[in-house]
Amino acid sequence: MSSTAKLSTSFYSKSCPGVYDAVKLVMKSAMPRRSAWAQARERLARLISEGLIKKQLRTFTMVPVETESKEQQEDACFINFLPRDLIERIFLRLPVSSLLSCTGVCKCWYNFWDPQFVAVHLQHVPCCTLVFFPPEFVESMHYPSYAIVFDEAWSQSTWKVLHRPRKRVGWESKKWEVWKNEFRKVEGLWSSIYQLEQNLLESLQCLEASHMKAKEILQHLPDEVFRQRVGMKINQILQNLPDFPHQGRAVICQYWIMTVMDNEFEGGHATAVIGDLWIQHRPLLHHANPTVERRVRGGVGERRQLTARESQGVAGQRGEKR
Amino acid sequence: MAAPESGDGNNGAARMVTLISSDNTRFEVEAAAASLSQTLQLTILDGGGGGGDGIPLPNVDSATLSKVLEYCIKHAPAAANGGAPNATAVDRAELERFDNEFVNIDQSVLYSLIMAAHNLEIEGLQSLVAKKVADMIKGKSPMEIRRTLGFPDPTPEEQAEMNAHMLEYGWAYE
Repeated sequence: MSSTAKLSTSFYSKSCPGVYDAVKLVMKSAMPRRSAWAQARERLARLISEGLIKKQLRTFTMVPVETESKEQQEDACFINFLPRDLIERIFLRLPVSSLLSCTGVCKCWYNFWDPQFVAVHLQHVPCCTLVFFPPEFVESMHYPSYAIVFDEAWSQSTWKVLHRPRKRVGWESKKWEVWKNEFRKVEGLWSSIYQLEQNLLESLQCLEASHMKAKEILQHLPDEVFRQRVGMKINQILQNLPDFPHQGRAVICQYWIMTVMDNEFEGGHATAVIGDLWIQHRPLLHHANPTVERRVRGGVGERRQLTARESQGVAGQRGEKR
Repeated sequence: MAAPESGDGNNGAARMVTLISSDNTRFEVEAAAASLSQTLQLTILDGGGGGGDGIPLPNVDSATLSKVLEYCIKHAPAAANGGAPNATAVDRAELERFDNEFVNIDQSVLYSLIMAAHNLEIEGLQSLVAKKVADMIKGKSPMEIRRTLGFPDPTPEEQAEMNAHMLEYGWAYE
């Protein structure tokens, strides 16, 4: 049956291109796209009125069969026979850019990504990958239609944009424009934070180097109490230093989030975005090193709690909506 | 088959267990090797699989099982050392070379291997095959992925969709 349908389509593609196009459109409308469906019907109606097709109409009864078999064909890759968690296991090893290209492979893969997968993926990729979701899509069913992903840690040049649906029209495209502008702002911040990070890391190294010197100087201090206080202060600072650059980054990321919260964005939009970023990043922080957590808690505790609370609020919202 | 070389002799004669594949072929392996599978480990700890009565594995056929056991036997000594902190670089390189060779197989075999590793819960093998498939996908365009993984040729409609995809995401593949 399906082969007949296939034959007939290929036949019409040769004999009557108009009909073939109409068939294609009907087949396309198997996907939930109203416009395509309407278009196909319109076209069909036109063809019929022009007397191009009469008895060939039977072809269209075969179309569903054809679509079904096509989907089976699509499944023919061995990966699609695997249970979902095994497919996930494979995809979890891919960087975002490869995942993007996977969305183009077949419909099953296109429909694979959901918020849970993104969250799990985040925990598997290098510790600084970030995802933003604009709140309007957090709240709608399309979540996560638009996501901005940093493929590699902290280099603003590698950001990737994931977005569905593919065609943006009217208000949707306007919204996208707004979001893009928003992102450009973030990108500017990003480069400045990158600069800051570099500077801070350098100064941290300097600090460490001067530690020994500081201890030497300590011995020459005359006042016992004063010496102790200075010594404690130095130890405190050194304890909180991150051991590796990427831990430093985690710290700076927090700092950045808070700075952004304070200075840049007042409206709910960006706050929610940043809140989301916070949520996504937190588990990674726990992984990184307890020192990092300690430093953050000690350093800017008050602000941090605020951030955490707000992000929890965002998480709560998300949970309700889901 | 698969009579393994005698182990490093930590417990004298190594304990053997028998595994029975779906097509009733019997495989005799060291308990240490079979214990790489989380599923089998419990049974073996309970003392199953020894002597005449084997452990039936209805989900795994003999070709796949022999492949899986090949992996297990190779990896058992390293696993016994607890992740092999004292393994030499040579040993590790050797294992790596073996792994690379091991997954260099036909896709149908790869598929049954993934399923077997999943059913038997062999962590190392699972990540090995997942990595292999991921490597097959990595850095390729959708069309190349389809070709690599043996998808059928795209229908004209699919082709159109993929073209649309390339228009939208083309920048991601540079």
